[in-house]
Amino acid sequence: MGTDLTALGELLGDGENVLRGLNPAHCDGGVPTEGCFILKRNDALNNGPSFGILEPAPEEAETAPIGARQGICVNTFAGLLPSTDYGIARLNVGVALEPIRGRESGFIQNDEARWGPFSRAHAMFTGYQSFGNQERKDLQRHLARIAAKAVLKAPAPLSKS
Amino acid sequence: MQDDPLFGFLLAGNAQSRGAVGLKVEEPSFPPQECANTLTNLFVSSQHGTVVHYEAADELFSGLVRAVVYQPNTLVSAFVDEMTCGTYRTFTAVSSLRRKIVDFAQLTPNWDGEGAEPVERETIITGLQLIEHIAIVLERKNTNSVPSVRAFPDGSIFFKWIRGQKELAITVQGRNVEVQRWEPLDAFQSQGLWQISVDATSEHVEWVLT
Repeated sequence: MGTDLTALGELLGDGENVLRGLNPAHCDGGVPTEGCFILKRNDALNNGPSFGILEPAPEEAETAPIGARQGICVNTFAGLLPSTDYGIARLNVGVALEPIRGRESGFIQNDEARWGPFSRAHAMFTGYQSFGNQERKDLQRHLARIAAKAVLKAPAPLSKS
Repeated sequence: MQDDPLFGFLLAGNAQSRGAVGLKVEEPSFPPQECANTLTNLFVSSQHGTVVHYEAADELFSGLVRAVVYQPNTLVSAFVDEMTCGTYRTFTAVSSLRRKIVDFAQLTPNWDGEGAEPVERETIITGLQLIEHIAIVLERKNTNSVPSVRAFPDGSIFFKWIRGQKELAITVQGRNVEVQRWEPLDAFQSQGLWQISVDATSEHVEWVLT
């Protein structure tokens, strides 16, 4: 019944931070909504929402070893997003997973070839596919709420056409 | 000016078109007005922000389209200023929600640049029906608090309502309506997820407004 996430890649620890690109079409007044974190039951296990692994400050390297080893800075991450209109939010892995502690869900490092030299700074969120509908939507809301508290770059306002 | 009767044409009462622009006022000094209650009352807001209440004084014809003579009702003008401004604002807010929903029909596949699905016609229709239920509760509660509404990448329409420590989320897709409620706001776990018919949404709207 459970999902063996470690088979998919290296699990990020609580001390790591990840970056999420914020599509302006799914933000409201510069704030990410649940639309930025849609989690579907039929998402492939190895194809969950995409994140960048944040390169930590030197003094945080011990608690964020993956980020220290192969993380990415915010400016570089911004350049990998589909457009300069995208915003960026930071999520702490421990905070993101706190309400679902003990469940088989988490952030996993997996290479993204399109990121070229930064391919190893890519992570995805997965495991939620086995959750019930209510819990999955609770989780979407939770991710949007914590992202809203750490918007590092606001998305551009949507142009009215 | 305010003592002059207004002549207008309005649609017969119809719950589906409640609050729609069913009135055409042909009076030189006034542009066509929207009507909060298409059967009996007309609220006209002036450029100075005051609201004048007109009651239907006489029905000249009957049938689907009725011609009505409105007379200013000076007796209730003070009451009108207090109460109907809110009604008018509610009406305006609901009209705005309705326009947003209709606009979602213009979203083409990949409208977010990340493969988002269009919002199907059936979803639009259910969303509009939901708004009619919301409008009725707002009128009953005499409040103009309205939800935010947006299209989601999976082609659903998402209503979100935060009031005090309560949060209500309603997701519409096709004819399916899903409701979730949180209280307090910092709770992770919702009180439940209800899959209901659009006609059963009023109870949840009442909850967030109470």
